[in-house]
Amino acid sequence: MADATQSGETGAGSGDPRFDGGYGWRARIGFLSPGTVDETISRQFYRMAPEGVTMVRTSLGVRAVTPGEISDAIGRAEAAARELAKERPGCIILGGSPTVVLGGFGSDAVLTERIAAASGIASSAAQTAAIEAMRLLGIERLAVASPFPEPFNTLLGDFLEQSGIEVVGFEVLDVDYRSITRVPLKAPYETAKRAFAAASRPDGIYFPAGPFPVADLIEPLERELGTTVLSSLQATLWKGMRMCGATDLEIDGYGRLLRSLAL
Amino acid sequence: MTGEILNEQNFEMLLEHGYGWRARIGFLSPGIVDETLSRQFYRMAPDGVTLVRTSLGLVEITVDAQHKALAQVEAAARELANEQPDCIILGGSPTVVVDGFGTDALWTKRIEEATGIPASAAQTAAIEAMRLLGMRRIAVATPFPDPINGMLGDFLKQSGFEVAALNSLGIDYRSLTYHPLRGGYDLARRSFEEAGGADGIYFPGAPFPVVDLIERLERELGTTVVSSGQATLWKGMQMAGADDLTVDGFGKLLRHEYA
Repeated sequence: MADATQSGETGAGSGDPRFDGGYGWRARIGFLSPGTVDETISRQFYRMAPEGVTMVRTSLGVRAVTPGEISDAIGRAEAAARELAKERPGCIILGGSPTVVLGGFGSDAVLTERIAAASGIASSAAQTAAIEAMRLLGIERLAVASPFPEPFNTLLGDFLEQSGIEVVGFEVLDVDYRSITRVPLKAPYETAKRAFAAASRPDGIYFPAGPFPVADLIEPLERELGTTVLSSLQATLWKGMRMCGATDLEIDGYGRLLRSLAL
Repeated sequence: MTGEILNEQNFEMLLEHGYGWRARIGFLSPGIVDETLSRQFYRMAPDGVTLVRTSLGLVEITVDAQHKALAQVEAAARELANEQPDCIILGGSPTVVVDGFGTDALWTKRIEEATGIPASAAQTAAIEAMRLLGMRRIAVATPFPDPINGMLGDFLKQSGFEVAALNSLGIDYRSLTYHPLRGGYDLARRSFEEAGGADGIYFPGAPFPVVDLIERLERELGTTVVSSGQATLWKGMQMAGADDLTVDGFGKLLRHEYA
């Protein structure tokens, strides 16, 4: 009784692009993922990603979201990028908001440059992608629903403000970060609605954190509140597909951003 | 185009219980980089079934590297246990064949002792699956370099199988995840033909891009096909109590068409 609409058929030989091009025949998006355990990053990525788009992921070994652990993770980024490069992804994206807000505004560009130099592969950062997405969709006044502990929420707020985004609402999900992969989706759903309601005239909602289980809330929230919703991982997929040149298709069901790939 | 949109009932389950509302399968994944392991898992897995994965840091398929990865197993299992998966499965054939028959049971026990969570191994799962499907004489299509292939053959023989043919892809293992599916397809057919009358085909190597070949090979060759990732999903769902659910499109095993 699986709801599987998936099909295990490869079609008639070379008519199936996977048969000759492999699973990532459209785009293979390299991802430096802070967390040591993955569950909801891959789960959400493959909810949203079209056929032929894969994530090539390695971890930066973060076990707890503290400044010390994040700083260690940043120190491992270049070696991890070289490891990723052996599998030849089309681009490399540094995951995490904590990884770039710790060093403050502009540190995403510095880290991106280091990763590109270490790996020889075009690079970006998930936070950079989210801000580019906000600009593209005309979001100037933002409501944030965050799963991070302090000091990362304050640092993230500063980073967004310095990026020219006015943070008019900021709500934090009160759970142990290590349990966010298994929180029911109603928790971020309610946090987002609270952030939106408390804000004055927001243009959109932003969910930072790749593992935050929110992908299937994007479309319902956009419809319910008549707004625009961005998540870290959704912006990573959008940016990665653009960097890999896979912009000739639209993704339906995960918000305005992924319907705007060609823009 | 995109993945299927959830029906209302499953959306309600997501809201109330999260992405792994049916089963959260812990996985100790040897490789340091993941691409086709997760890609293939989410090709097959029904809604509500997730993979909770951490890596053992393996960068190459040598005997030494397996021993280094094995030295990480208990710490990595404790790390996984922090996220409370329903079970923990040790990935890899190389991880258990390097020290031979029976070491899968030994590692399973160690993982359970370290975490208090029911454990198994991907190799154990594949062997259980092949037995249940009535496979005795098997054709193996592997992505591994030597000496792992010889060790795997011995392990399978000691588990009671007749290894009628074993052929290796013969590519750099680090290029496996972007290998076209044609590679696995041609190799499996060659192994099957060489075996001259096997009961089934076995693809070890969870990252080996093969799951979308399973159904096609079963139909074209009138046989049974088991892959490491497919057997891991099957075993994990069973251990998590989600085995009332069958999956269509990825072979007899996930449809529970046992012999």
